[in-house]
Amino acid sequence: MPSSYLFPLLLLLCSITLSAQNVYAPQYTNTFTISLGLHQGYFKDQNFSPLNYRASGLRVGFGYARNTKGGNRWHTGLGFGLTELKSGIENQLATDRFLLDVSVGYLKGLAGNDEDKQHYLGGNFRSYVDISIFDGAEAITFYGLHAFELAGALNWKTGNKHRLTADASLPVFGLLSRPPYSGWDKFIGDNSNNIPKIITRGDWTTIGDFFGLRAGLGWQYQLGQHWALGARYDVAYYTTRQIDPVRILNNTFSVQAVRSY
Amino acid sequence: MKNIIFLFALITLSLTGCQKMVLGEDEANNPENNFELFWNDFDRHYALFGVRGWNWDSIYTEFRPQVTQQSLPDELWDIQRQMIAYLDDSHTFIYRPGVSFFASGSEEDERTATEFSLPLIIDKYLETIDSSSENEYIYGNCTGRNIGYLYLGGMKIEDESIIDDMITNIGDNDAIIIDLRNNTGGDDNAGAAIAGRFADHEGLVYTVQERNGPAHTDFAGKTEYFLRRQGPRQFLKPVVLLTDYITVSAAEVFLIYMSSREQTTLIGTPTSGDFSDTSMRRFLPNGTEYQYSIMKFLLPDGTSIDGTGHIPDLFIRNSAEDIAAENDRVLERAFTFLFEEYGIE
Repeated sequence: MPSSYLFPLLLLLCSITLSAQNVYAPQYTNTFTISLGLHQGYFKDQNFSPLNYRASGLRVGFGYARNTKGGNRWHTGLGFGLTELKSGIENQLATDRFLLDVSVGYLKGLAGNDEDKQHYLGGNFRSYVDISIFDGAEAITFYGLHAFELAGALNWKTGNKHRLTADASLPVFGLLSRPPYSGWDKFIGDNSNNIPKIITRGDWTTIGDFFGLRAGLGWQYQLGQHWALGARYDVAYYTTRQIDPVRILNNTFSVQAVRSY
Repeated sequence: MKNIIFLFALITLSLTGCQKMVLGEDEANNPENNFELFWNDFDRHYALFGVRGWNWDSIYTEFRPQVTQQSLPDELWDIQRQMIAYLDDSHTFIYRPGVSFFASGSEEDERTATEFSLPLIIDKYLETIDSSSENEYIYGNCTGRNIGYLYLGGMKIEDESIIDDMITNIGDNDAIIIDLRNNTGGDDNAGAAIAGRFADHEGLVYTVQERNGPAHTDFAGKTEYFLRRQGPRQFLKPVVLLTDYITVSAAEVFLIYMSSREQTTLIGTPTSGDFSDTSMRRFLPNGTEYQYSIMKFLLPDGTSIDGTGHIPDLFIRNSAEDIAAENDRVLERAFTFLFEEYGIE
């Protein structure tokens, strides 16, 4: 997306958030979430292989949100995925794939929020790291995007004990880290024991050089005053043409335990 | 509640059954496409067409007509084997998991392996002080001589204190022979660390440039590598390095470091001439995997010894019969040289 589109979008977001008048005061200040999910996705990275891969595995997530008296929300999250890539070629070893996302963000409650329906807009900073390692380290690739995101969320009460939650985010500016053209270079070799250094080498760039979109839809059932159980579906799509074309689609179905107080 | 379940189910179906929509069609697994992917990948990434003077287009012209949709897997394999044999580069290989393997530029290896015997050296020539099968080294003093001996089967020394111990233990000799025969390489940094214990000066010894674009001349900027003094003590007296045709990769990079010092002599045969790190493993739809060289090493004057390897100062080669007769003529030539040149015995 050209920057000429980006800045009006940011201005629009700011105008919405700044004009929000919150009358809703949240019932709980702190919310902790733990989730365990099944990961299933698709992966193609031409720097790594010309083949299409299917991904499967597990994902564990932790989240914390703090609701302010003004009806806004600070939140942070940490997710690990341990998955495998399979190409469908007989006798080919699976590729180990490790996913990490760390995020922190601020969402402003919109005007009109009440006890039954809340809507938020704001921003996140998220590091998404996707590392694939074949047969020891005979082949590796990675996609690291450490980016500022536009974000939105909603939380609807859909019944006495039921809630529907949803969120979405769009990275717009960030540090994109990819392997070099040759897939490997002396920098990686010389820093093979320092993965953070490798997956933060890259260029700061804007949407257009990459594209990402994350969205989640959840349902929660209130067990008591402070506990809820839930089910959630998350989808994330990342792509870039930098160095070589990449397409990544991550689906996760998870169950959640939520503690609020 | 039913609506929510329906919504989840709809999303599940729509987003878990859409591989083609997200990734596009799978690469066709037929002989012609496998050939095209293979040739194009080398064309776009292999780093040594220029320094070795290879014409990759001529390989396409020669072999492409031989591949049809009816080509059998073994026929395609044989064509791909010939294609990389042309490159004469032991960092380039093809591999059918569980079926077959071929490394380019390794025709001499089998014979060369019979021309060296570490057990012979240990039994006949060496008073061993320390050894490690994990790090593939052994060192000690040459029996009856004021000469130290270090054998490196690979460049894998991870704990640098081992090198300092080695210098302490054999560094009082008048000369050290470093035997790199049958050395299959490893970590360039290990070579730099060892060479640092023999450094008589500091300075630029080589540069590395990775291929970074589709043209055969596209390379990233130079990364410079320097010989630096390392460790508490340097051995500054004569050093003889023994080489053979197997001596390759990080062992050859180590030789670049060592060759920059004074009183250093290479004895044996030319080395393999393959300096580059290998690429990541590459994949074809038919299951074939392969790797290739992705960078060029240049000496400070801009020249390359890729392909030719290190040319020894004194050429000598054992035969399998020499080894069977318990004579290591290469090692004995090193003894003779040290006596004739420096009076060391």
